[in-house]
Amino acid sequence: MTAHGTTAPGARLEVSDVTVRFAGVTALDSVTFTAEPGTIHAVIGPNGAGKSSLFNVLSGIYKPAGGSVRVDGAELIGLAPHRVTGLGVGRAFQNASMFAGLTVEENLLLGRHRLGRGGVFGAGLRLPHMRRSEREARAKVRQVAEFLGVDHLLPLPAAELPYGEAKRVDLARALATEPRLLLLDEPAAGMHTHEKLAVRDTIRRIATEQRITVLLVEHDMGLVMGISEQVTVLDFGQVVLTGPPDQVIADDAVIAAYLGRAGAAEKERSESEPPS
Amino acid sequence: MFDKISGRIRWRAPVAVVAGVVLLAIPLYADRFWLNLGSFAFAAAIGAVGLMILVGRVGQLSLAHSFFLAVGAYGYIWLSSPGTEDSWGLGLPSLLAAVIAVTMAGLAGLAFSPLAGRLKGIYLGVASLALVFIGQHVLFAAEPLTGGYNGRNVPELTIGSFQVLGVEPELSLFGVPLRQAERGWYVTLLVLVLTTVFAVLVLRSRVGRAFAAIRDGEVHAAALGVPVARYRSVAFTLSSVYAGLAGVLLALLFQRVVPEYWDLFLSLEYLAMVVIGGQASVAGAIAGAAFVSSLPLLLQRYSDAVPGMGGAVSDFGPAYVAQILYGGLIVVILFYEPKGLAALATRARKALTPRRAVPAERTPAS
Repeated sequence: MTAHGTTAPGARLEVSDVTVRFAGVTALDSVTFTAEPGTIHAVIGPNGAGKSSLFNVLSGIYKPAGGSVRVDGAELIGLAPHRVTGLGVGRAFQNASMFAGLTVEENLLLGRHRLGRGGVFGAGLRLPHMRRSEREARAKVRQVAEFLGVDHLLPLPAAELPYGEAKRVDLARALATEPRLLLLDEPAAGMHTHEKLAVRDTIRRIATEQRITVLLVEHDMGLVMGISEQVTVLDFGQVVLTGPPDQVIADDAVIAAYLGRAGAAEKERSESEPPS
Repeated sequence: MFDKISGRIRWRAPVAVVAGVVLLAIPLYADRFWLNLGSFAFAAAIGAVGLMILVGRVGQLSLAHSFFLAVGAYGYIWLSSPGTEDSWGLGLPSLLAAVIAVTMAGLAGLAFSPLAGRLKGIYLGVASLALVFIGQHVLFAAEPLTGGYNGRNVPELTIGSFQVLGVEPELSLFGVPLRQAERGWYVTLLVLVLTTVFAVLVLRSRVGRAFAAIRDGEVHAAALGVPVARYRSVAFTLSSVYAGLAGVLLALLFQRVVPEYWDLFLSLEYLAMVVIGGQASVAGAIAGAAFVSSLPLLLQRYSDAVPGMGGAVSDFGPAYVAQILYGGLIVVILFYEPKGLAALATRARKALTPRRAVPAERTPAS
């Protein structure tokens, strides 16, 4: 099944020449890559490579010094964070922070906030358009929750969720916005191996069954290599390369980024001089 | 889980019916003192619910609540009084004046939205402080509006020749004549019930969820498409409408108002109501309002019985003692039970509900 009824194809994400500077530090330096519609595209890199900065640019939280980010041709940069959702961009955050005072269902309903209708008067006077909108929202939220297997959690207070469940609910909440592009910031952070595998399957299902473009910002090479069509490697705010996983894994510059220059030198030496 | 939910439903309906019957029957038995006490508490509760929405649900601080109460009160006086040479008035029909006065309070709140939308939490509290001081200055300076230090009479609320809070025409219920005190009780109670239902429906809707999301995590709320600044100013405006309504009712009950009443201390009293009530609870705010608004009146009535407490005019009078008492109560609540009176109700319900609730099924789903 699909959570959205329609199979709206994923959006194309074009990041070009994005540069972010903080007081002299260049966090992102002319970052350029394209995520094709309906694919899983990973952005990896060691700590401090600029992954979080990139995520914050794509969320509308950071305003870059230069460059452009287009979602199906529509410029994202300059939009307030709440307007980015309007381009069809859904976001799941690294810390999976739930709105603690609300239930899981209400958390998911917030994902549909933009798609709902009605204000103070509609709510306070129980006007028909508002009630209809609420009913639809609850039905859709249940579908999304079922798709991700979190429907049994719906009535629980969100504050009581264990971390792993909260991550899944966060993902469901991002899906509830009906995105064409889903940004995932370290979806497997802090998880143990079998949870990581479950996350990997879920992401794959989102891309294949719902045809949503997934941009995965991840630290974990293992998770990324198994599911991504394309991988962009960042180091010190620059793109080292973009390519399919097997190309990335074999690239010396990538190994240098992850293991340091010494590591790359080590590798070279071991290749040229077989151990005696 | 489902026990918990159905338990709420099981308890709520009968409790609401019993409470409703008691509240409706009280004017048949209680004397004027208690009815006035109740009317003030109901009117104050409307203001407290409005402030609770802003403080408890959106996480914003406002110290300007007394300003919006004053806009409602003086708006009503100005619109409904017949103007004379030295006092302003438009002489509108009083019900229309009341409606416009509440709208004016809302517009005043809306006018503040460039600040109310952008500033967060305590910063808004500081900015809103300015409104109280401006308000106080204007109220004392604008004598034709407020009557200066001497205050000004509040025109009666009439619909045609019907005195809503007066004695004409004579009405009675089960042989008990409904005069000012009884009508005051019923009218304020009715308005409180209507505004409370409205507030509960708003808070349960997507608007209320957006409020809570802003309180619990502004960045994430925005990332889900919630326009944070807009909802902050919506909440501020809504809370000033509630304040304006409370202001109109309080003025009608007082029958004569003086400028110094609408000062910073009044704002703090409303904050006290919200905090004592548990910050984020509608019922708590109403209970907090009942407590804070009736405490000085109760102390005054029974001050003779309290050794060492002087009359109303002494330094150690009922109003002063009441401040100390609920000041102390706030400290106790913040230390031991931040959810205030609302938490007491929850505890009572838990204690009374049979402990059959099983933790929800948490099977790891596919």
